[in-house]
Amino acid sequence: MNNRLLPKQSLAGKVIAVTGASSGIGAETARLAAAMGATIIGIARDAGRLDALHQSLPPGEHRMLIADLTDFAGLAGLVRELPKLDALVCAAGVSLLAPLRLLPESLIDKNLDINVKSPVMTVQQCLKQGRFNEEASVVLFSSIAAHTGTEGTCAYSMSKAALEGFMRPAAMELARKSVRINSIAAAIVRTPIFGQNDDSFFDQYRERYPLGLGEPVDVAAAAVFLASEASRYMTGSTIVMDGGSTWV
Amino acid sequence: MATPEQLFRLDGKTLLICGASSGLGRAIALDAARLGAQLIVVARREALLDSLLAELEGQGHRRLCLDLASEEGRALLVAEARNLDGMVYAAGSLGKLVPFHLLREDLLEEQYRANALLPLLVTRALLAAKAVRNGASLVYLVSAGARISPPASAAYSGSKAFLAAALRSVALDVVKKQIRINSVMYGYVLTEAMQQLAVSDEVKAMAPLGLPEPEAVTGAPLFLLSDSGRWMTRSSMTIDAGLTLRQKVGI
Repeated sequence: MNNRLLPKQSLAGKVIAVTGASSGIGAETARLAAAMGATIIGIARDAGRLDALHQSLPPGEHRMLIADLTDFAGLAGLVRELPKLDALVCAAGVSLLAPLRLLPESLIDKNLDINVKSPVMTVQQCLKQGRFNEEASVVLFSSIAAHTGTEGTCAYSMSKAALEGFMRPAAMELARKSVRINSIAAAIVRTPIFGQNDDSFFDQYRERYPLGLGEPVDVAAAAVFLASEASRYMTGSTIVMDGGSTWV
Repeated sequence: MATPEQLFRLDGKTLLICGASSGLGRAIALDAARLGAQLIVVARREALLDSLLAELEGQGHRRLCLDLASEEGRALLVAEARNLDGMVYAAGSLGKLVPFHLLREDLLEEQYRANALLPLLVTRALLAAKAVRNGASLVYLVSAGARISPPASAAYSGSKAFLAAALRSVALDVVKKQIRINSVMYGYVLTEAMQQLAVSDEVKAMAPLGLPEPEAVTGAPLFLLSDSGRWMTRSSMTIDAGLTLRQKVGI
């Protein structure tokens, strides 16, 4: 008996583009996928952090692309630089919060531009430019905020609900090319997206989740599962990963 | 960082597979053994269990030939199954498609019993006997039917929804022991039992990604059994080839 993964779990020989690869769940997914044999195309704005990610990956043909995914006019050009993909992991995102009464229009736009328009148009360009290999897989990051009612999250929650709304019809259209698309709706794990460094921010959530606070690797594991052939025949679906949260 | 093997393999885990003799249960058992798990495989049909046991990779697997529907069967299970790190409950009944006005009480009861009561009774018996280790992962094969409720399947769809709803509550009752409970919602899968069911080709053709063989769709239960799923409980994964995305035209 060997001590390896099943062939369908392995990512050997696969090319995976990861947006938002320079930090948080994007970086964790890139590292885990690379450890499972994938060639990573890391996409992010911050050259320094992207380079740090590159250094942390096992040797390979990985490439880093510095790009702003909300420069929608430049997206077609960015996608032209991509090789044929076996998976596209859209991990770039923001969580910008404000109570409804004080919510500026600019904050609504920013949540929608980064969390919705950017992944939607990236997937669209990949489709238009034939960048998906047969049976490629698209992984989106929704959030439990798409399903719950937490004060202060109006703009963020609606952006994640919109992303799941995009996913289902897109699954039907992508299925014609045998391409799959799924999402992960995770609760809060310790990443820089929340702009919080102190433990007390995360501690308040630890108590809300029966299994405690999740780690970035938990969410990254779901992302590589969805990117791999282990999730064949799975499309248009959302994996809720929230430590068993309950609202009653 | 945890290695991919630590996340996705099942080395050192003792897993109980109920309904292991055919279909999805059998396919999951074969892959779980390839990933290093020690298995206790349970089913009624002895010859099929023996042939599965002969095919399982690795050493030390056991088989229990018993009927989970009987109290003696469950007592035997609890006497033999110990120190479980996980379970896949794959036993169940597809019943038959019956228009609701023709659905007899005994058919309705039979489905509820096979698909909802038995998995709950088996789980309760194992928990009461302390046969389940802290941190274990229990995985139940439910059906996308629990959500889409196709025609003539009131007994079947209802029984699966019953199980899924009950399990979400059980998950909270056992979470202090870090025991995780999740379900997998399958669409149509080319199992023997499914092929005996008179599902029309038109319905089967509705899934945009086509109809999978059981071997192709073992990934989700394996994910939930392994440490990769350690932050999931009260949740489910849907593998239906896109079946439940579209609206059917006409009844």
